[in-house]
Amino acid sequence: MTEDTKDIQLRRELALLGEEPADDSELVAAERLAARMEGALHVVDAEGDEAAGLAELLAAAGLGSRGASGKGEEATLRALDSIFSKEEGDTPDVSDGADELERRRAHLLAQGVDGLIAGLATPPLTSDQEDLLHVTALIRASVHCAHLSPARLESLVESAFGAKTTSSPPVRRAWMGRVAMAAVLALLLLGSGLLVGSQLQVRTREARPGPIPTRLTSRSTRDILPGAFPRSQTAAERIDIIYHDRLRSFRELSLGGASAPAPGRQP
Amino acid sequence: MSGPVPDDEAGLALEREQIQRAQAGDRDALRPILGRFGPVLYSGVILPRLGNEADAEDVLKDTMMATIERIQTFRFKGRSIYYWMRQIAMNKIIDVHRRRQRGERLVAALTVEAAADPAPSERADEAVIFAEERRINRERITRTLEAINPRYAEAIRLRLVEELPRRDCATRMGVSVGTFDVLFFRSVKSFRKKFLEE
Repeated sequence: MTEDTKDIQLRRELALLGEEPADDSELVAAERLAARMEGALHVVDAEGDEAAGLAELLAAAGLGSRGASGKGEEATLRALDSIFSKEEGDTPDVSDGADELERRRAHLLAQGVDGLIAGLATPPLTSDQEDLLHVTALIRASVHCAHLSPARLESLVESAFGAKTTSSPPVRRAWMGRVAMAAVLALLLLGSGLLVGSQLQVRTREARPGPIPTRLTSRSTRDILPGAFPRSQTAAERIDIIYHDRLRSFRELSLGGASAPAPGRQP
Repeated sequence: MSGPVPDDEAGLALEREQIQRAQAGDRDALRPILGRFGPVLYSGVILPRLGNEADAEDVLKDTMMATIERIQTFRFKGRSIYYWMRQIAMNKIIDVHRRRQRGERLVAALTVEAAADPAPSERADEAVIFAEERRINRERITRTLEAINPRYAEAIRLRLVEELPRRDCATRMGVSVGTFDVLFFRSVKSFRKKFLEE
């Protein structure tokens, strides 16, 4: 583009904007600004030195890098984005700067990092923010030296050994488990056998008659049934009476003990 | 690779004797080894790759348990058992990230790191090993910081390395606190992207 063509275009633009035609000093200043900005971008493109390029850009725009506020900050962010977006495909929309949503997310992450540094709970975060907070935790843990206290180490060693004693490899555990179960069953069987045996012994001892009272010893029919047979009594009836007497004695001995005289029994 | 120095030879001999006793059935012989290398694994390997202290303690305990259980399979090859334990720890770290679904790229990056031989040294002294682990960790972070925009890197350095309050970070960077928050937010996103690309 020739100088004349540029001049014509500039005049046309200014006329459209209703601005006064530019004088020579203004044109020189504009040329300088354009050159500085072009140079700044050249630094970014050719040398990859974004910081130097940014400094040039901000200086050219009259913003400076410090003390910017309000619109200046927005411009700073936009300027940053415009440069960074050359490399960062994932940065937010560069033309809009930081929207309200991004500011909110940034604030939450900042609070999360505050909590991380102070060792406090972090605010509820989305999974992506959690992921970002995790990244900050990784950075901190990598550059700072967090030590494990000797007491905590001792506790971990003990629990590792403790866990070892209670958990063995699966095959071995199964084998040991079967043996242990068999041993327990055997002990239970032995115990119950002993218990039953001892109970039987007690019962036998309890059931064993002491000296049998005379009233229950073998005796002749005549002893318990003295006197002549009544005439009306038949032999069968008399045998029934004797049988009843012996049965009663047997029951007293085997079931009810033999210490007390049977009710209604004649000594 | 530097060979063992005299002090390390003595340390390795003691370590070997302790391992042999453990393999012969005296598992308590492993206690001094766990006590020596537990803190190194925690601060130098596990925590920098998990970022969470509770998770790091769990992984350390699991690593110790695995060491006790698998000591019979360890074969002494002239270098400290630390590197064997480190490998176990790395595998457990990967398991944690998989369970937490941290992302395939992070798991893949860790898997590559776990497969690589981490130790250019055969030293057995835990202080030397720890220094080496710290160097590796710092290098990983520095390499990534150098790959992102310097202003982003500066925001991360101020906030996470120097641990300055947000207000001070903002002052140092010449912006308001709100703008610094946005700047830091973008910095971390940029760092994550580069970190996973490494």
